[in-house]
Amino acid sequence: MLQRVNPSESNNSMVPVGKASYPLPFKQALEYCAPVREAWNIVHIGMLLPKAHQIYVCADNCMRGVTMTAAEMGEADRFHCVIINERDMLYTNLDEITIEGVTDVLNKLDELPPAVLLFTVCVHHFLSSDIEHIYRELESRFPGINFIRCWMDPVMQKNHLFPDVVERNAMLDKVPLRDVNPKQVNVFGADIHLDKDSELEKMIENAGCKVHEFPRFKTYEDYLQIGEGRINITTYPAFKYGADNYSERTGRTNLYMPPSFNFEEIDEQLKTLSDALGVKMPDVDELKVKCDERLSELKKELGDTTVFLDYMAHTRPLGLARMLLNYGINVKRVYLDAVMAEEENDFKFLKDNYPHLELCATVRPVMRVAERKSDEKVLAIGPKAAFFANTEFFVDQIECGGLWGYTGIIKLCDKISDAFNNSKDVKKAVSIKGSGNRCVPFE
Amino acid sequence: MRETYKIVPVYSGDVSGACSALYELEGMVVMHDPSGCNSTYNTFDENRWYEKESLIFLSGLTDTDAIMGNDKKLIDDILEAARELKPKFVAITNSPIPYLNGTDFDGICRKIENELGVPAFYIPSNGMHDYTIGAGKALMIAAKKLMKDKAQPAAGVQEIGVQSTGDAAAGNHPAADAQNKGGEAEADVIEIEEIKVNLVGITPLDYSRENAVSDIKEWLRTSGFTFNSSLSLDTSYDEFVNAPDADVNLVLSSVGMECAIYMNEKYGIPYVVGSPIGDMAKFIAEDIRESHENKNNINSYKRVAYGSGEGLVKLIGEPVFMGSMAASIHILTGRAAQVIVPTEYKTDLLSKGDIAVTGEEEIEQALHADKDRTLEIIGDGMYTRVAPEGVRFINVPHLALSGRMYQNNK
Repeated sequence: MLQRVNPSESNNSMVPVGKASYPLPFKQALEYCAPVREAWNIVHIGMLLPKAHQIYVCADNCMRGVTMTAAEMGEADRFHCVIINERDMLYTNLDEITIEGVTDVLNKLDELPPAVLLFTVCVHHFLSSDIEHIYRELESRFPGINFIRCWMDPVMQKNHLFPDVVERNAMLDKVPLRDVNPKQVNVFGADIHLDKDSELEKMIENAGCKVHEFPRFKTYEDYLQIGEGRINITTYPAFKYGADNYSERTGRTNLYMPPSFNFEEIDEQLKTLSDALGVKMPDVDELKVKCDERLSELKKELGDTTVFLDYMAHTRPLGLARMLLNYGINVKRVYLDAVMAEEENDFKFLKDNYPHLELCATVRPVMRVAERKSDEKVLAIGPKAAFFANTEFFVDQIECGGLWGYTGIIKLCDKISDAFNNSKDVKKAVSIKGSGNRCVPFE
Repeated sequence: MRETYKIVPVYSGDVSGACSALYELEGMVVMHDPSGCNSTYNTFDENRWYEKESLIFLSGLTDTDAIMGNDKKLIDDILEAARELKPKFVAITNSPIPYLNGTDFDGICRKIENELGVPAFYIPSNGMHDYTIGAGKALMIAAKKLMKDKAQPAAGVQEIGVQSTGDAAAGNHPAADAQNKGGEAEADVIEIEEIKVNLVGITPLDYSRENAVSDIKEWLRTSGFTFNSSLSLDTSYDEFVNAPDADVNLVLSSVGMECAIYMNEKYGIPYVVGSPIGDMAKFIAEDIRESHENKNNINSYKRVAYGSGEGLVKLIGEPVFMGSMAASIHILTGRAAQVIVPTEYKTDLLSKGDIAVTGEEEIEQALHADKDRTLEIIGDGMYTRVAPEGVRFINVPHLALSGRMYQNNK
């Protein structure tokens, strides 16, 4: 029988922030994968490109996850694969298998798609495939198809870029530059659409413009229209690499404005936006007062309730913890495995001011047998925190939930309040793959 | 091309199969694979992940460790976790990159075994085969490494006893209940040999129904047999280790074949291949007795000539489960049945008229052949995408193919 354990410093799965190292508080070793499925993967992200098909060229075991993701989304007809085996890798030409396999798949379709996200994989790197040759040949065989060069190469992700970062970059890399539409602002945000009540959306509207972002695309033409954007605004860290490259290629401004919990940073973002769009700043003093009142109300409501939060709910988990702690809310633990560079200041602040705040790993092996019971009510913000705390009182949010700015903070407070008062089925919630997507098994 | 799939998903891979087979044996299984590759297995191929803990981890292989041959990191990481979590054994599976590099897994396992003092073994895999290969090898290698020596007497009859079904106090004959449902039970009590039976090759990938093991155990009991071990669903390390105490192995899927062959050679335990589905159950029970008595290996469903008869029922999927269902349908209706086998391990498991297929094109051709004669197709619902129109399709969900898609309507 497996023995339950509590995450602790001695088993290197939990460390008070006061003693934690930056940016990796925990040793990187064997990894456990908690049954929390809500994060989007490369298949979900690629499906945001309307009418595009995805083709993966890889081994059986690697193919399984992506093919089932597409099936669960009800998008199997836009997903295809070419299986490679030992013979292909050791005795024949992987490049030719890739080219002929993709050609075979495309020839079997009733209608050719306007774009194909082609995913080559780790073995293409290791066998030094001639990727340029592969794409040159495919583009000559299918001149009407926009081949988007993606990688499913997780072996590279710790030392290079994550596959989803590469994919987002590739999706922008194939956008043709068009004449500027002065009424269009591109937002390269999370996979969940930007909150329409956010200051960001409102200011863009006030400038007489419309937000143009992947989650709202209905047609392939919507995708091509990215090339008409007047300004690009990036709100999601995983899009920054691609957006910077796109900006460099096109010569059009890219403003990096991730959702923040730091009032000064939000003010700076709003000022930058105001200058770029040529619109009046919103009344930030009024927004701040509202925000302050809502956070104070939330503190009264929660009292001393223990709060756990995680990196899935928000890209700034330490910033969120810092803000809530500053309002007296009893945040005891943050689940994360690494600290992002843009949270370094929050990390230092917490280290100095709230040294007992616990940082808890999610992938350390001991987390497989971590005690998931608590004698007290725990409120969780984020699905991994909910799973590990095994609490039915949780905010079911990933990727910042589309929230942004002061309005985003107020709305997050509303969500926390709702979670405090209304229970949810944690197993059902966290089992849905790609939160916000269709997930057939749970319909 | 055989390698391309337009719309049908691929089966669970060999690494998932190995993890599934070893899941409940209280060991630690390490997939030597990059970060993120674990979620494929535990999302789509493993329905126990949320409720039942198992020490299955990923090594988090990086490009630099792979290129530089940094096996020390893998060894040190395994030792660290094992010292903390105290598994009863360590098993390592492989993936495409370490396979290309020619990583010396046997050497790594020897080192780990010496350091930890618990068995450590490698499951040959490379991510390029389906679950029947990975799970089959895992069971067979775990049997070699973990199973105890057979108790004395080494083979055959363990003891003589009196078996009864139903109300033991009434002393009914095991067969009587089946023959006299609700009627007068025969009062005769006869002496029969106790035959201990293992269930071999049962994992959720083929048997995902909640009560699969308990139902088969109950069938064994009512058929007059004694359950010995499950290899390896609803089981434990001790149960697995004690498997050589059995008299007969019942092979419930192709996953169990390599293990059954090994146990036959090592312990002299004969095996019967078949799943007790419908009318096949009583034939399998007879075959278990015959196998025990004659020490011969029997494939029960292949004894039923299900390839001939009126009309044609096509079944597609894993060969032992679908072969048994085909035989059962033939016994019940007299219809001809044909099994189309897309899974990889199929040695000696196809009956005359059955077809082995590889890839979506061949699957589609096999399903469309003889369309006018085909009365119905039975298989996982994913195959409706390539099945001929106008032919009735009966969905029998198979976790190894459709994953979580139909698990609510089994």
